[in-house]
Amino acid sequence: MDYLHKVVLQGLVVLTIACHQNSSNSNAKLSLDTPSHSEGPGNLAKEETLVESVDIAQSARNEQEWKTNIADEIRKLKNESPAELQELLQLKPRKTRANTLRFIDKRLQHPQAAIVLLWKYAQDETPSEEREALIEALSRTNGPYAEFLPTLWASEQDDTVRSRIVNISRRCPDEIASKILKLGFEDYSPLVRASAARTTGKIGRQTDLDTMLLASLNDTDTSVQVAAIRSVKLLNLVDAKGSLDQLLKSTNPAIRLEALYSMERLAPEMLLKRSELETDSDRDVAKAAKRFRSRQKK
Amino acid sequence: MQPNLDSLFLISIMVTMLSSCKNDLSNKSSRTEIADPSQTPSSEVNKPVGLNFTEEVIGLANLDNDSGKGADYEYELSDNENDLSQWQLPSEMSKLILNGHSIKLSLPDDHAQLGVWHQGSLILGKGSPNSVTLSGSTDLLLAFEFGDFNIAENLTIEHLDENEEVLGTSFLKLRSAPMLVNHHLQPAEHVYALRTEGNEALISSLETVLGDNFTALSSTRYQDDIWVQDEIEFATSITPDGKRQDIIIDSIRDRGLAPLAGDIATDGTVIRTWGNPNRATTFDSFGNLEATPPITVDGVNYPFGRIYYGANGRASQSISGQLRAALDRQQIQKPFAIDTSWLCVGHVDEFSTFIPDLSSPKGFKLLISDTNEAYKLLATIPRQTALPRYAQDFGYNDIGAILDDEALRIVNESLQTNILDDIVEIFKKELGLDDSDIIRVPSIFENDLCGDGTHGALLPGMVNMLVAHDEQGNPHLFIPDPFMRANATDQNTDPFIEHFTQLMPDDLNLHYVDDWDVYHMGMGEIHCGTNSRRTPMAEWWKGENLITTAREQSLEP
Repeated sequence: MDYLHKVVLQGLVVLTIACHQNSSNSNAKLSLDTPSHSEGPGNLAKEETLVESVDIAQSARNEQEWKTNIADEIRKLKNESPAELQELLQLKPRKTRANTLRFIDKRLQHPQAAIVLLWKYAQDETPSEEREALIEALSRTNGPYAEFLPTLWASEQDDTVRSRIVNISRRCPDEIASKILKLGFEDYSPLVRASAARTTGKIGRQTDLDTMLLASLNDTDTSVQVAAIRSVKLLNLVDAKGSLDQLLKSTNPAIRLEALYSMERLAPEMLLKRSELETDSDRDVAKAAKRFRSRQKK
Repeated sequence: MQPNLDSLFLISIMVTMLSSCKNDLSNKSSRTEIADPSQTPSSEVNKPVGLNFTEEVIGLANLDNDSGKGADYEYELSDNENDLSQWQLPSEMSKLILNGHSIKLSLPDDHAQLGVWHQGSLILGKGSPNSVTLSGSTDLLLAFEFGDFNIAENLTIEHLDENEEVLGTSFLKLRSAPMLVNHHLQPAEHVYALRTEGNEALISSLETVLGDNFTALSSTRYQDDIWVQDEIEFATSITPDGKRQDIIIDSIRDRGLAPLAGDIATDGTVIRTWGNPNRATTFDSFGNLEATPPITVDGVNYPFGRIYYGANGRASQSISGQLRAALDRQQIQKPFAIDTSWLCVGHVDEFSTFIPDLSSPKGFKLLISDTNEAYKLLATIPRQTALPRYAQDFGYNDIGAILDDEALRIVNESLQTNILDDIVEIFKKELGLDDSDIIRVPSIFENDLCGDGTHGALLPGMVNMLVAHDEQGNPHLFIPDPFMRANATDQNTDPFIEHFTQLMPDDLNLHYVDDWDVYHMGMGEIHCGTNSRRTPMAEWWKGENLITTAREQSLEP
């Protein structure tokens, strides 16, 4: 793609987003009668990737569609079981010990809980902290939330919420999980990319994702690198040996330490040759290297 | 008066008698070292005998709120003041002060944290000059006011004749009692937890077992902030004459429970905060500040145990620097740090605690989380054992699902090898423990929930318990129910409960309490949701208990 082409394409993307935001803002509040949404697609800093992976216009249509679907479900519940709906609408998050929000409630097991959580998510006044909690809570319901996640992703502007969407994809069907994780790996936010790297380590081997995970070992952000280093260990991804060996020479001691831990599992024979780590300038790295050698002797 | 050696000796003996105080300000504690009359040069026998003694005065920091204005030391003395320590020159000593003689009192430097009062006036310290001469009075009655815990200073008393020649030099070793953070071997006098929707099992258990020793706090008043452990830390300060001062260290955490310290403080309780609330992190919560039971390490006695807290060397991942410095200044519970940055919440109570054990030579056991023990135990349970609690909230339908989650296993193996084993070594080193002092409690952590790869308890953290006492003084442990079973209502079928029970000393009363919904799913457990005021036990001022520091040695007259 030549430079001019890129510039024109980026301009179109911005225009499309602006139009979408304007039209959404005119119907800012999602109600049972007029479902809509005010937020445009996120990830403005990585337009090229977005263009390649997401059809903006389709996303806007999808966004309207899923909200319409949720509104229909809520309307149905309102007509059929108003008392149950009332109960579920009272769901509210508590503050965890870590000072984050979390929905802790037995009512999450209600068959319609997911729909109500999605309804709450779609309200414009719902702050990002609560949206993150709603996403997390969805994963603890029995409802059909997974199918909505890619669409939610496309309209979610907050990094922590997108990171949480990636995180709960672990409990989704493989196809959806894979789609979200790929989006996660390509996100502009290191928080989201780290979440993708971490979650990939939990869902088992998938060729496409393995490739993206291996690439993340050399991400520009340390937190993404650390997450990727840990995940290649969880997946026993021996293809990572070469990269890990290089990362043992990183100037960042946190990277050296994590690489050492992963090499212990993936390539202990290579790690044995790295005796210089036992005199590493970082105390934790040196200690871990000595402990490794000690265990090898046993 | 021309005393001979016998009379001088008699006078010296009398110094050992503590003078009675003239008003209700007294809480003096003193100890006298008798001057040796044989040291008086024979050529000076005919000279007037000067004051020559050393006494110790121990008092409490005047940081309570008798005045109604705030920490008393910061304000003018009020009529309600009762925390000054008095000392009076014994009448027989007073007779040594003849007409024309004077007494010069001096402190080594300007003391902002110590005030010396005489006849209702501040004469030294608190910004006053560091020396003063009193003449025309033989009635030497002094009152001392301490502006902080664990202050140690010498007041020099010079006895001058009419020519201002020194006849004798005496010393008052002034000391305020240190602040002592409570540990689990101290009897729990009162326990607090917040009553809220969903924690009925815990509240009911505490009410039933502890009776009037328990108070359920209002959810409305404290904005449903259930983490009672995190907002405050109970401590005490005591003097040899039996005066006790309760202290509440009020965290800079300041969430819904922020008013709690003021609400539950009794008369005379000191409420103290160190640090800037605007810079509070999760590490400033007091589930991250604990004290071990009494212990002797390499010959050094810690009669009140040692303080430990979570930190990893970075200022942003520790309790506040001001609180750290304050705890360090107390010396007697010499703090040590443990890395808790691997945890989402980041508190030491998530993986460790101490319980009383009368059968143990040290009188206690350290309980520490151990993931290897958990996997060993899981392997003994039928794989198909359903786990309804875990199924809904963590996606593990049965024991087999946990065992088959290879990523979870590796996460926990790494945690044990790279972190928990190191923590055990730190406890062993800092407390002089060996394996027989440690009980390894089966635990499994996950690293999904927090969203940043840090860890939290997957199984309810059984070490994260409350150690308390009923009205008869019997010890009780309130332990999170692990729910590692198919039938949630039948604890007798839970292999983790059975295993844990076998690990515990016989004389403890064990209560496995359902804390799943409100606490466990909120990333904490029972210890996090409770707090206990406790009775101080040891005598820090006794020589065998006192940790002598270089500073104290330098004060020796």
